[in-house]
Amino acid sequence: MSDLLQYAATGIALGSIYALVALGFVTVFAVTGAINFAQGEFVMLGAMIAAQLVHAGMPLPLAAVLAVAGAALAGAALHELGLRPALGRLSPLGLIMITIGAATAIRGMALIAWGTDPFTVPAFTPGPSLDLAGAAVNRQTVWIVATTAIVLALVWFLFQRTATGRALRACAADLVAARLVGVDPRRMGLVSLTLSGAVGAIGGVVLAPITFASYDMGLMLGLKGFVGAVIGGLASAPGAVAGGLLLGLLEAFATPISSGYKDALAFVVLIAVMLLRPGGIFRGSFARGRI
Amino acid sequence: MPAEPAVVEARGVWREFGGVVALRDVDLAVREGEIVALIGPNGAGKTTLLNVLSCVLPPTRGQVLFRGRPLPGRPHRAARAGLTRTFQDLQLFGSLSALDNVLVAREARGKGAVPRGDADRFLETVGLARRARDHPDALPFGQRRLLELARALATEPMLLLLDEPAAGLSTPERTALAERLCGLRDVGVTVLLVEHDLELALGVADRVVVLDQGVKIADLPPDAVRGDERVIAAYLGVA
Amino acid sequence: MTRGDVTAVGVLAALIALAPLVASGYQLSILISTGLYGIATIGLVLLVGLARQVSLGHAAFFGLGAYVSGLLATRAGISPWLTIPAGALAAMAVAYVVGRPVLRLHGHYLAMATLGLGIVFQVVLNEWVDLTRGPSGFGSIPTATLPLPIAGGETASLYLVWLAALAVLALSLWLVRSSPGRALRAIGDSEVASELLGLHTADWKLRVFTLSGAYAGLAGALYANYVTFLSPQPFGFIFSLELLVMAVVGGLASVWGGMVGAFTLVVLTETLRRSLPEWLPGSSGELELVLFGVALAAMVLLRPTGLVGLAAAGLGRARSLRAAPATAEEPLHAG
Repeated sequence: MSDLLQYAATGIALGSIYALVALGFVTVFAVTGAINFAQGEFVMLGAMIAAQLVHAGMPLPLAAVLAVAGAALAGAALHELGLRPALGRLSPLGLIMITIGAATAIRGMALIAWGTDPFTVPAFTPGPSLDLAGAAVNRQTVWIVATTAIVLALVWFLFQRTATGRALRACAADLVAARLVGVDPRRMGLVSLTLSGAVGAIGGVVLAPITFASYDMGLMLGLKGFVGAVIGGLASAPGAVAGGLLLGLLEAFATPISSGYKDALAFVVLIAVMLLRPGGIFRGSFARGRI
Repeated sequence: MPAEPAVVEARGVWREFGGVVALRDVDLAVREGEIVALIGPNGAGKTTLLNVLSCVLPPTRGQVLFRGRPLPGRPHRAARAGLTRTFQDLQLFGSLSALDNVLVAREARGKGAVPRGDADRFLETVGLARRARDHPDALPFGQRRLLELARALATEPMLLLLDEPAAGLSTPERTALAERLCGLRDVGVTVLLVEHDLELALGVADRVVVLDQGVKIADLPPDAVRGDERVIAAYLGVA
Repeated sequence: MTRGDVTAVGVLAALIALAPLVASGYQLSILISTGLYGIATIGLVLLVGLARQVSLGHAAFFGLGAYVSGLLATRAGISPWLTIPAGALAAMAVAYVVGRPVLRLHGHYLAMATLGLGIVFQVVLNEWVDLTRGPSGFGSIPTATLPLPIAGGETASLYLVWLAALAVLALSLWLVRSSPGRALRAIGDSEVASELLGLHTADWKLRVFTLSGAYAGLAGALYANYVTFLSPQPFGFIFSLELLVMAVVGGLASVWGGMVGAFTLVVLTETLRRSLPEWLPGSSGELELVLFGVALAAMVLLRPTGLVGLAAAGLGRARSLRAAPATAEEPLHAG
């Protein structure tokens, strides 16, 4: 039983990160129609910048804030330089290639800046693992889950209760109507990308003490976050979060069966989910959803 | 019910998208050799009905029969059985020449490669023979519509479904189109056309079906349409 | 094939035949790499340029061809002359099986599905240690020897690779102008219109997917034969991306573009690898990665018709899959 709880705890922690990444994907996709391949790199930037600053002696809270700001800036830059000129002009393949190009460039810059060696980041509140009903739960895990919950709450608040959030949702629901009421989709695209950069980076900051921060951590995280978003239907924020959590749990419970193959599990799930959708051509391209 | 067989028949067709009902219990039959016009205000469901009839969308409820048999699962089989259509937004093959557009249609019938001359005559019938080597984007809009029509005719269909064939055409082009459509009847092609241009539609049709908010509200000869209360109410939006 | 194409293939064949007489070992290796990657890239041009499908996982077919060929040669002692076609056939079979369900997807979904498949393949290569020797890989793959009195292994490899490459080139050039080529282009332009003219689009898409998988597998098998050592590491997402970049750079618009793109990228990466440490001491693969990413994004934004598009605009439409002038539809453009 405690084993199960153990796996569940790991799964929820992992799933929380996936949920944050998935949320970033859905936000950008709903507002701009683009799949942002660089989503995982935002997580990496959050982790790496924070790690670098902490190693340079900066107190953690300040380092975290700067890391998140840095990633948000990267998101904004990606939108202005990469997406804005492309939207409406390029097909899905073209958009994907632009974001892949951006992701690769970001990864390369990280490699130049920080080399290949991973950073170790101390846990936020160092100490022995907590005992929860027999399962040894890493303290950092608690930080991850708590931070994710807070971020999700804040994002929910943003979407539901602020003017910007309403504008974002308007773009997601109906772009033409949104324009008619004065929402500028390009500005909303910028907002969505900045937001998803920040959200991803927060995930990176809380994840770093557990997994080591390295320049290439973004690829897999991004892809798995995407799987979580697809599980949730790529059309809703709550769905993305649920999908990410589900994937995290799936992976955690698959670890005892085969830890090497569990990376493949996410993609098998991805393909299965996509195929079971009746996604034939005659449905047209999939509709913009609600966030 | 008339004794002649219907080329295509919709029976109790419903089509829903999420919570939205686009088609509500629609019955429609088009008999061989007829030209039927499908009209109605915007959002009436005309294109949706066309999509269902052309096997592009399955009905949520109800059934479509083509030549007496249920529509096959995949549209290409319906096409091979003699059903063809054009599109409101002109789905031409942009990377192929006009001739190749028609050639593909000839070759799609499953008999393999076909001599180019075979395709030429279809371009000739719509007057585009001189532009055989041009790509669609080099053609003026009216000629692009003609090309799409030529391509559809190249499959030698039994049933031709046209989605707003006159949209974007100038007045002389519309007149020419109307003549061509009447000419189709002479060669035994059955036609169902969705059309906003009432004059054109009423001018060529043997029968007019009126759709409003997914419901068939009238099925009349053309002269009776203008005076019909239900039709007027539908277009004016009177509840 | 047009007469121009036939001449060009002939000239290319002659150049390759004479190359060992004038070129250095290094230059020969560039030609060999071009031939190898060119084969795989042409497959992508057919799939992505002609039929407008997406594959972000083609490294898997390449790797499959490499591993099947390499394993058959080292474990079962089969002659390379048989293992190379075997590798291609294995990739083709897998493409057929996998393609059927996956090609029901479109756009982003298809892209991610192929990406996922590529990753699953690499994981399997790493994990199935009994079969593949896992991350450490295996070597001593015997090479095919040509029954000709030629000097040096590089020359033999050059001829073998280009024998295959020229065949692939010729076949693809013919295909593009043929009736099946027209059907594929039509499907790429408008799947729904093609379907409603009577084309079984699902079948056609599967055919071109399978063919492009076969090409990639052939290239992989030739690669294994050339480098004689295999490990899972090169056959991942980055390589799938590189293949796609070769296709895009070449223009995604013509079969020749595939070769041009492969050549360009091979030369560029080699130059970067050699010169970068001179320009910027201490740097190597990292800057390459950045430039790669930036170049990809820039190219896609600014010149979706690629290099061949630039050239073809002057030459007229003679050699393109797509019409050369800017007004024609390009596969990277919306709609």
